[in-house]
Amino acid sequence: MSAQTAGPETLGHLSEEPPPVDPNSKQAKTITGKSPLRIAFGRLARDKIAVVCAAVVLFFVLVAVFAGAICSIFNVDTETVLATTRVDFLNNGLPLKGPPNHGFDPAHPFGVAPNTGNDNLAFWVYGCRTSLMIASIATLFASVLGVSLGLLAGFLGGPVDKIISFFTDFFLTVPFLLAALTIAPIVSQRFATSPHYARIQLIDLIVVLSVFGWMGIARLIRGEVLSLREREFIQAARVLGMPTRRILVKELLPNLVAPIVVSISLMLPAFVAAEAGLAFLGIGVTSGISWGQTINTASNFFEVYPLFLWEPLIGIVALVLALNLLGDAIRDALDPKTRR
Amino acid sequence: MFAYVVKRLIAGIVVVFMVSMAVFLLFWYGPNEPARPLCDQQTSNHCDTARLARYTENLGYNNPVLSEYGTFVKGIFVGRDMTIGTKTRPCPAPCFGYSYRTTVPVWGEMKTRLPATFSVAIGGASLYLLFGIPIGVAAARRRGTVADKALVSSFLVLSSIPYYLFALLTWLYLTVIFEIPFLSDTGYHPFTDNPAKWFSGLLLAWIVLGIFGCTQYTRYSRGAMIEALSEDYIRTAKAKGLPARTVVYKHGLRAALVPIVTIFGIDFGVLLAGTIFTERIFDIQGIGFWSLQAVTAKDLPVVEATALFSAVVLVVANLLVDVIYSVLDPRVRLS
Amino acid sequence: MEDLTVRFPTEDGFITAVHGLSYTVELGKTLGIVGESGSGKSVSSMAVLGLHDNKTARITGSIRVGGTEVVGLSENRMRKLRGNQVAMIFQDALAALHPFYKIGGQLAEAYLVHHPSASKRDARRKAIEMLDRVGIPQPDRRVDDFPHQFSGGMRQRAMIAMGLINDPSLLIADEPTTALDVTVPAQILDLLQDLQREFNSAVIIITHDLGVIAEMADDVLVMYAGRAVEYGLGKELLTHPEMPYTWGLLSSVPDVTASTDSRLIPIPGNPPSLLSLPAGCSFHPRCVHSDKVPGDLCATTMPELSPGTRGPSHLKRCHLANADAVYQAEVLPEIAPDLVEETL
Repeated sequence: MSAQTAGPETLGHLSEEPPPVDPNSKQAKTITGKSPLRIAFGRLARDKIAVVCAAVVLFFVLVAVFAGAICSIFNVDTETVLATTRVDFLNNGLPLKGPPNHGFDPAHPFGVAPNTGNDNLAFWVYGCRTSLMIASIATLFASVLGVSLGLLAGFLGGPVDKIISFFTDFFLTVPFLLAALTIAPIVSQRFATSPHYARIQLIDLIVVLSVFGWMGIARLIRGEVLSLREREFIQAARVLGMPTRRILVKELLPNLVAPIVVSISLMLPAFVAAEAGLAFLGIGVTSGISWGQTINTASNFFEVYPLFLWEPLIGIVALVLALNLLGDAIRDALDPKTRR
Repeated sequence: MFAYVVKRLIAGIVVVFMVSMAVFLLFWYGPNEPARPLCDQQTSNHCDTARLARYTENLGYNNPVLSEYGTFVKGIFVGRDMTIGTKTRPCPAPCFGYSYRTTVPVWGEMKTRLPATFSVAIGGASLYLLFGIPIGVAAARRRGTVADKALVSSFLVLSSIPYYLFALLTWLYLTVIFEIPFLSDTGYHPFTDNPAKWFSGLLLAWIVLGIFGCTQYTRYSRGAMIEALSEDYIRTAKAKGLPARTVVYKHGLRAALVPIVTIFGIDFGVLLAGTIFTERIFDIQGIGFWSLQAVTAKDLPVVEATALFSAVVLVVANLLVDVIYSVLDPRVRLS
Repeated sequence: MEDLTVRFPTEDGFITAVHGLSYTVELGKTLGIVGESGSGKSVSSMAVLGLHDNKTARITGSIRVGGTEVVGLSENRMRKLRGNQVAMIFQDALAALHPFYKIGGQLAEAYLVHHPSASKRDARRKAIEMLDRVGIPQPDRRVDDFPHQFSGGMRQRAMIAMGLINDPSLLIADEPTTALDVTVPAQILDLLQDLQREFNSAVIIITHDLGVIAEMADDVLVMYAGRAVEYGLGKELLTHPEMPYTWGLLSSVPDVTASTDSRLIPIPGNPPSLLSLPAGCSFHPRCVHSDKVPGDLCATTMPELSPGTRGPSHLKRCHLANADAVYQAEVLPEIAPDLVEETL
């Protein structure tokens, strides 16, 4: 129970260690007097793909943060008072104005959804917020969980290590998609009538993503700590009688920045994809706004209204692709040996 | 070797037991009215307090949880009788309860859906290896060339796109927009009924799953192969005067295969446990689609059974991977 | 081998790993090649087997093995030479043997590829016979072991068995004893010597250990930064070295029998990068005797490989005119005072 899944049906890599090191590496020129992180940052800034990807990611972050402001600039919102003023139920519920049949409608720049008449731009912007919010909070929790468990397992060793490693392997065997699938009906059965159902769903998602996303980083940190703790400076700190907590925080943690950054760069796109995927299946966000949910609805209208599908789809693909490629560039920058 | 397998087997059984316990408890304590979905279903949404109480009693939710877990486990091995509404029905082993939605034994329906999922999984996974490994090996042998770089970056981009979007777009374009004749009729038709239909219904799913999966296998194979080809024993093999083909395949690929097979075993297990996205998008009535429908209908016994089934499949897959690994690597086998 | 040059492209331009190297080994004789890491020892011998990637490495010059020109030979004919006429033994036998195949299988494979008509059973018998020859106990049982079940010394023996299984005319041993435990190298070297006598092959032994050279080599070639810097008969070269680099190597070898007066004198500095070799003699920045050469000849002109004071059988690449005298007078007393007293 030590290997992990990578196939498409697992929604990509929720919990991944960096891929096997490619020995076909260019030797990095040695630059003295700079911290490894600064060197990495310099490399990253010179990598054109990384810069473009970072810009794309930044764009989505701004959209997510200023979702409300963007909506008011375009004078759109997520509420639809009367759907019949916007869509024609005699014509498959397609919009009366704007795409797909009536050109561009300045009141709804992205068009409106069929049947519900919801404004696509407002849903797109808030979908972006949902996506990034869930992904980043889940990443935060998963990394904190993973880093602390990895540190404990690696540093304390013995029975603690055994127990943590067992649970790491155990969670690695359970695909998170199945876990989410199992938990979804229970949550819906219990809370469907609750006024806070949308919020409860968000929390449920974040918990599921975090609980099934920490293993990769925990393993990575554990391995790193195991090799670090035999090094002289940790031994020295121990001999000097530094308390364990202080050694962990002051001596070990700074050396673990690189693997943590790498893990986070892998987790974020995986979580974005996972959130949208679950919503697409109808087991993620169902009573809120999510790109995945829109895609699910839009695939039924694809023949007559392709734009409706393309909007959220491009959103997810661009965000996930940019995050993935940026992550790849970060890994390369931190460890030039992995260069293809 | 034998002791090793036994050890892994015991660990596997412990994990299955833990998962079954966890799933059972989740479905016991999770819903606040566990019998409500069945009651609603049976009474056409006229479930009142008295009826709900009766269903709750009949489903055993008033008994102690551990004794009910015992009944549940016993039912899996020897079968049991279950009271659904007013009737008591037999539930032969392996009994996973009755579906709330269709009121048939869960295992009976699962059996009819397994071939669909297995067909998708076996076909897709074969393509992983069939394309992934040769392309990866070829790229490794030509590493650094323009072709290799183009392949690596295009596969990186392709595998960065979420699988379900790739699959959804392919399905929409090929079957809804262009209506490609042989591919459009996706779905599962039993092989024994009509092999040609079986094949054409699954073909697109296989191709999409296979292409997407093979990008990752190409990456693994390429990495593993580059590593293997840089080993000292490859130089030895060359120095012996072996032909290049023998050096690459007998010596290089043999070593690179170990990590690839390990990952593949787990991936294949995940596919067997339910190809949810593929089944949902290509409308294939397998385990994955079934569990999705069950979630929507709050059909708790079905969700519970599929979760257990997946856990067992994954534990078995892991066990097999460990055994295969020790067969492939004599250093593990004999230590 | 004549005027062999091997160049590799790197990101920062071509490096010349081996530069104009020439040597000869006769059947039944042993040539020892000494030098620091990166001096081109292994690269030159890998060229004999054509093991360099012909897409990247640029090899010029001439290597003849028993009359066959190796440089520019087609891959197919090269392959027939490898392991058959020329065999190589590598440094780390654990890494050099495939971990997933049985020892016997790996030996048999080497035999079968050059004896296509032989049956698998013949090859297996041959493998057992070779394992027996190199002193592996119970060879008929150990033949089915995997490399990791062998001890370090046994693995190296198995490597030697594999090298000799096709009775090659030239055996190249690339640091055959470096990765072994202290007591094992002597056994391995004895074995190599015995087998050389038995098979009458030419042996090239690559090492940085002068002790190995002293014991094994008929001829010695000292390499520095890709060039031969001294070449001569083993005994003569070791007692009357004429190149300061060789002196440096000699003075860095600890000698347990020597008195505590003797000192270990390391060569100052590090080997130069092959990307930026110093002008003139490659060794001059580290040479403590360059002040004895008139003018700045050492810093401007690369010395030719020319006969030393003891005749044309001893070649050296150094501007020092009276090298032997300097050695006897200045270097020897420093490193081995006992020896000086004895000769006095």
